[in-house]
Amino acid sequence: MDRYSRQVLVAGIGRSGQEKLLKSKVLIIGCGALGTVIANNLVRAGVGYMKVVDRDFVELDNLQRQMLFDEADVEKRMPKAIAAVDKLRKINSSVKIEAEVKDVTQKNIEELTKDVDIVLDATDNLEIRLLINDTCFKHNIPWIYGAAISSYGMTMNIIPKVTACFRCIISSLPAPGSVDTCDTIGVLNATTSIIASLQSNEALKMLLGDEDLNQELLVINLKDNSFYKIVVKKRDNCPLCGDGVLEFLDKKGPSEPIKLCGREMIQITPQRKMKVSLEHLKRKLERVGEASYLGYLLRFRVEQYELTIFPDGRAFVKGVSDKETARSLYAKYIGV
Amino acid sequence: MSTEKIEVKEDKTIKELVGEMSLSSAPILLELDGEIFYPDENYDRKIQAGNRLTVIPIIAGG
Repeated sequence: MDRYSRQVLVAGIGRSGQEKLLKSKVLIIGCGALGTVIANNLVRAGVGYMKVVDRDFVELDNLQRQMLFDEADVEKRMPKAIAAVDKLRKINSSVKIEAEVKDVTQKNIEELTKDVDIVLDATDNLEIRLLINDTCFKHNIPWIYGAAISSYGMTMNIIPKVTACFRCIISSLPAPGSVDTCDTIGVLNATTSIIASLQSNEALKMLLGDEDLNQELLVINLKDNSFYKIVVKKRDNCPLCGDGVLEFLDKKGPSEPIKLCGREMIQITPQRKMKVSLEHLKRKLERVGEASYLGYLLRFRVEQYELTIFPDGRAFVKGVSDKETARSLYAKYIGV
Repeated sequence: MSTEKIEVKEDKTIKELVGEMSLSSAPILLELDGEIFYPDENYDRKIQAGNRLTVIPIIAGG
């Protein structure tokens, strides 16, 4: 208990609160800029069990904001979940920590969320958040949405059947390319650190049973140092809150990536048909790589990869041999 | 990327406004006089000239 003495002193925690934390179980989905800060905070705070899931490997341009990684992890091309857990175990060996190197899909998310008290969202796309939303609603698990881009960030506690859900906020997936990403317009490490710290603080409050939880969408902008809360109402016709339709959890895999035979190329197909503005997407992508619009498709080259994007959102990702990397590149540069 | 305040120049519906701003397919919330609402539930709602509307983009990065 000595390790936590300064935290135990905080009003509302005490020894009994710390004991609650030591028995708690959390799942962090995504181990990038948000996930590394959340994991670091919660391991130091003394949660009992933590599972960290991520599909990616550590890259040099991650080090600006992904606080648990270093140059040796880049050189070894370490999976993020493994590299993070190695560091976290050195920080607090009394926490039981597990790493899962995998893509979170409708096939494995129920197993991953089994028996956890809360889920922390540290992902990088909207589709997976809608999947987390469905799963947590079905199993009545509170989760904490967090997102950051440039100097702008937001977070919200989503408590099934109590607060508005993520489907209330986003009624359907936007067209690929209509959402900016950290890889197209950048992100400051202060933005991700603050949002992740707010998420981890709300997680501790939830685990402690604190009634003073944030019930609003909290929005920050570090450009003008503004912090404000927005009351988000449940949507009148929300398919999840209203009718319990688990569209993203129950979907039958049309967006499963397909490896094209004999080539280092993978096809990604969006979950539903949609129209992408390739000209708009080209303007965004040419800031970070070589983009050419050929009228019927958009070709984008970045690092050793080439993405060919079609007006229906389908894309060929060339230069990759695994589906996880292909999905990651799609989320990074096209964004959903 | 941030919230954006816009002053409506002439009477328009929400649908017309988000269409003009190329935000029809973007995930956003709107705020008018302290009230937050979902644009797709309020497409027919008229916004009068001179009103100040705030666009709050919902983001995905992390």
